[in-house]
Amino acid sequence: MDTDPQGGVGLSLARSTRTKQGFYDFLSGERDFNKLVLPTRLPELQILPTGQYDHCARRGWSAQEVPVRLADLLRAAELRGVDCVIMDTAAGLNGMSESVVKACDYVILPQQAEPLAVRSVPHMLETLSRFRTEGAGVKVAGILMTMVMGDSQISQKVVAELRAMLPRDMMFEQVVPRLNSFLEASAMGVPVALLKKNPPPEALIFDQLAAELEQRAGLAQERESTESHASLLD
Amino acid sequence: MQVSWIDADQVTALAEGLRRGTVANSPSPDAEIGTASLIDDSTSFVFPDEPEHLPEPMAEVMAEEAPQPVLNDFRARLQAIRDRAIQAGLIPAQMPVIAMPEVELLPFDPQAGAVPDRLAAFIDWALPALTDSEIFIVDDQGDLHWGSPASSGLVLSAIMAWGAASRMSALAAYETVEPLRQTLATGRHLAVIPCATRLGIMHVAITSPQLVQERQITALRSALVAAMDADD
Repeated sequence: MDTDPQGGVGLSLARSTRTKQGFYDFLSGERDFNKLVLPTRLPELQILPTGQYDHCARRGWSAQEVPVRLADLLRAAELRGVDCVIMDTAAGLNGMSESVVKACDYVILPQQAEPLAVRSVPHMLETLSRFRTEGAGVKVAGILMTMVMGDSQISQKVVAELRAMLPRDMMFEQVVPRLNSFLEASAMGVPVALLKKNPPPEALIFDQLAAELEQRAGLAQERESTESHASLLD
Repeated sequence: MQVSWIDADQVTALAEGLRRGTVANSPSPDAEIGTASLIDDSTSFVFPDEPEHLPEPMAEVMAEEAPQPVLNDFRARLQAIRDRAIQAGLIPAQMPVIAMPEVELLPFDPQAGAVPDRLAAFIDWALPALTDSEIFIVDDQGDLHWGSPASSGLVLSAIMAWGAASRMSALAAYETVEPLRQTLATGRHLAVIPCATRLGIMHVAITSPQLVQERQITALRSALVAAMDADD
């Protein structure tokens, strides 16, 4: 679900998402959630794009109604049979992003591995603490270091300093490096794993990340309790 | 040198407070990775009709293009960015460069005492010779030891960026690093003088309406080093 008005999730995949209805239309009163969801060629993956943000913003929506509409949205997703909703927000923990984070079970905190970006970490943690005192149950899945530049001492130092300060389970082991293949994938409108017939090695990064997230969010235990494994011989 | 400028104790305390709500088990290194391929490789996921025109890559930030940037190259890039901004009308054209009138700096008499007192003595000596200027003293970790915090933001950013670039240059290990000279968007001039004192590298940063002269730079550097080295 893309809640960022810039609509990066949809636009990373198809130009046509610019004209689709989506999250903000639901927020503004569109009742039929099923009408807004876009299927993909992966049967287990569906996308709710940003929608017509500017049009909806002109009509306006009640700020007080946002938590209620978010709850309706998640309930509709559950009724549709969705197991896991990943919500992308705009940068910063304020406004709509604040409401979305509060509605979630877990939050992943992407953090660019640059000195200027990482200096906002204390503010980010303070804000999350405030959410907690306001009654939001959202837990921190972890801080995810992104755009890590392997050949930059400064970038590496940023990562090292954060790891030294934060408990191990507050930071993802996996980091996302800054690579040309990510730009190519965005340009082509495909996930990086589908960039070539043989996925580039960096596609494994996201598999690792998914596995780590499953552990942190308890999804791995849920999956193991419902799936059985057939013997290879019998 | 700490680059994150984060109070470790504060962040650790905040993180511990939030941990009470995080999942207790750390990620297992043997966690399963999904291996089943659910995608028909012959079809794409979602393709646009034709590739968009890609924007010009920002060469200035692609680390792989500049394995060991030297200071002059760094300055040239900053100047190129500034030129484009001027052409686009985003900032005014460079003001005519006027050298600061050469005001003789009297010999500096270093005084012993606490570091703030030594810096105060240095500033009292230097300011009369630097007309309409503002002086900042910043250490290599980016901590401001003298100067107004309200107006130090751009100066600190310039010092840290330049310091990082000069340290990446092998020349910095063998030669005295040349002062940074930069014209600010306001038209004022910034000069940053690195000084190797017994307390580590300290930078004297001066914003002024005119360029600081070479002889003044030499005198300022010697004076700050002497101020820090004065016997108690």
